[in-house]
Amino acid sequence: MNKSWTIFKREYLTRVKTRGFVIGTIIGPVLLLLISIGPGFLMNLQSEKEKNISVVDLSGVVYEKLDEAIDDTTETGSRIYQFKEILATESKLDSVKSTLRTKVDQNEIDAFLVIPPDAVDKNESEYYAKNVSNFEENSKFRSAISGIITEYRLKQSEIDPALIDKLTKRVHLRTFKISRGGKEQEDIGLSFVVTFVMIFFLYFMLIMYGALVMRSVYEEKLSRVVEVIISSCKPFQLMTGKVLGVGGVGMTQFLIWVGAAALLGVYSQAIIGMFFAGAADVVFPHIPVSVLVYFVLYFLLGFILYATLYAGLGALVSTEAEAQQLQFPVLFMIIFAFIFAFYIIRNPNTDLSIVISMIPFFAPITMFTRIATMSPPFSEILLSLALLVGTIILLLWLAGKIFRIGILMYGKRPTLPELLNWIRY
Amino acid sequence: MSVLKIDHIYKSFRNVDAVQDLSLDLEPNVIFGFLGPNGAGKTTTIRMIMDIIKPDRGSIFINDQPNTLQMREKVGYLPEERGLYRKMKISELLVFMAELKGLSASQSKPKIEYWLERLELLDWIDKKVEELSRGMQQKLQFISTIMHEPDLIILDEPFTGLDPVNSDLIKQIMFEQKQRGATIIFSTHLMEQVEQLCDSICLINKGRIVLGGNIRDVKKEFRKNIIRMEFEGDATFIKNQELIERYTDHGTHYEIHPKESAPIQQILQAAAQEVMISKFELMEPSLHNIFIDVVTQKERNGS
Repeated sequence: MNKSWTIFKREYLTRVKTRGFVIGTIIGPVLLLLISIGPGFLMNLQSEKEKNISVVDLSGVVYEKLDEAIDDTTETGSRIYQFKEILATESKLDSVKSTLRTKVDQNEIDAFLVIPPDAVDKNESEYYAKNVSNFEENSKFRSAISGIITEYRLKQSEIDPALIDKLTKRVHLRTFKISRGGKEQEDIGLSFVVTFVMIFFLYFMLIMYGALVMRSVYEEKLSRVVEVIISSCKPFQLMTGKVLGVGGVGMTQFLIWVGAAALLGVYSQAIIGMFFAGAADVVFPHIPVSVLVYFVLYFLLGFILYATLYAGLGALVSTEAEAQQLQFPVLFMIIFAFIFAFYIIRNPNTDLSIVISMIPFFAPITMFTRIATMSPPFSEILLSLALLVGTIILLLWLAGKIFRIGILMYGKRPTLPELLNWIRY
Repeated sequence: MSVLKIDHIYKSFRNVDAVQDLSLDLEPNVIFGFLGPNGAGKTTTIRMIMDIIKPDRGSIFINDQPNTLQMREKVGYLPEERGLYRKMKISELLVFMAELKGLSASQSKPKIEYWLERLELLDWIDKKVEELSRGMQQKLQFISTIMHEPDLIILDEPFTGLDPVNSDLIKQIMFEQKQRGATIIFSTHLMEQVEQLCDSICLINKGRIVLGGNIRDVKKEFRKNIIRMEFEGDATFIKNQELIERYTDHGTHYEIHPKESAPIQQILQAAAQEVMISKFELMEPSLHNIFIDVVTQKERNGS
């Protein structure tokens, strides 16, 4: 029986069976969902409470139209914003303001607005409240007041506001994505989101599962289990068994998530509709099958590349702290690729993007980004894949050598010349 | 037929000669003591037998075959630095270890149960390794070393951390394994156990074999005329410089080193005339003393 298979089975089963895996698989997407739509969702939660707002309107223009401009209601249909005019003259303004300030302080009213007499010319108005960090509320008042004043100015100039509205109407720009073969598809920006989610996923999996391989190697080394294992199987078998075993766990998690996402896709409209009433007609972007295939391909190759690298490094480690140190350069490469992906999304076809997408250590993220945002020539994809596979083979050989010797060395970390010596051995 | 044949192996690390020109030939059915001071090259040799490291020169054969992975399925190895997967269940761990030695789960299950029962760990079969005490973990690793019925069993300090009851249990199992036909390489610093268990020994120092062979032959070679005597009464004969070189009073007994020319018989006669003898024996050198003699002597010669 192949010993790699025995190692693989152990790595895979002991991980998949843990409570941590089950929880991580469930919590992962929930967390992602919470982070991505949570804040927006919470902002949308209206405070249903009625608000008493006093208005000091010295211009005489704004107050009478305010009820009409801001007519938000609670679920029961009553108005949220209850405006009450406070009559004042310009000379008494300061004393009126200080009375209102006390009222706000003592919670008798929630806020007050001050519209100066020359608001129409000076474009100024004031809003006082305990909390002025609610962007949505602030912008609601801003646009209401400026709408009322604009309309007033237009009327003064004897221009029909309806005409202005018609003349300045914005032109809607619909975007269509043309993929290979000239197929076009209407896109309303969600494809960017989907691309981003996929890139983020690649990044996240490479970091998480790569580190897991490293940990699995050095834990075995530090707990000295490895001495018995290595006497019953070849170091290379141990390494490949580990890389594939941990990779299998990642793949399993990936498939569960993709399955869940596919289900979500089918019911997406219903689900999105649950949160955003107006968004029920959003079309979930259709991801071409070829992009999905490349996604899986680059994930697998990227994972094997980094896992092999991590396995080799794990074998060099003698303490946990050393592991953190050694991990950093590898982490840096993944982070670099991820950051660069943002440049590529905007400039997928510059020379720089093409070069970066060819470098094997970045290709899993950067080439995939290019594939997802535009359709690069097939020859470029092929070249990046060939380079990636070639590097993996070289790295497997190299890491295998280092692994074989490193896994039994304790104490001082080998220097670079010593490492080169191991490779020649 | 030989279970293990080591043919002139050499190994050096960074200018340190760990093992030099070491040869061994072990027959089936023996317990072989593999002795030497710290850093003598024992672990290096054992690791070469397990193909964890490769000798610079020379070769190793198991059951008269080249030392391949497949041959090593017939070897069991308990390293000195012990370790198990702490998070695994005991049953799962043993199935995994057996599979590494070429046993399928259905083949290993009954063996696992037998050995867990034998070493009083059956109640723990569904527990995780980390829940066991150190001694229990040691017994568990011992099981994983022998459960696949290897022809060659290598035990590096198997008794450290075990109480006397468990030590005796392991000793008994070692004898049983020997009777089954296995050869056991037993590496330890406890000479007393070597005397109890081993048929033959080899002592290495600084990577070379300095002493080896059947344990009785080794002792005969190192026998010196030292008399251990217990008696009552006033003894003047021990001060007789013609017969006795020197003596030590141990309270309960005397250790007497006779003159080389003096016949033992004459000392006994002289003693019998003066005191009541309750014990008179020619002391066998203990392996302990042989070990120290050989190692320190070599070191003196070496420097």
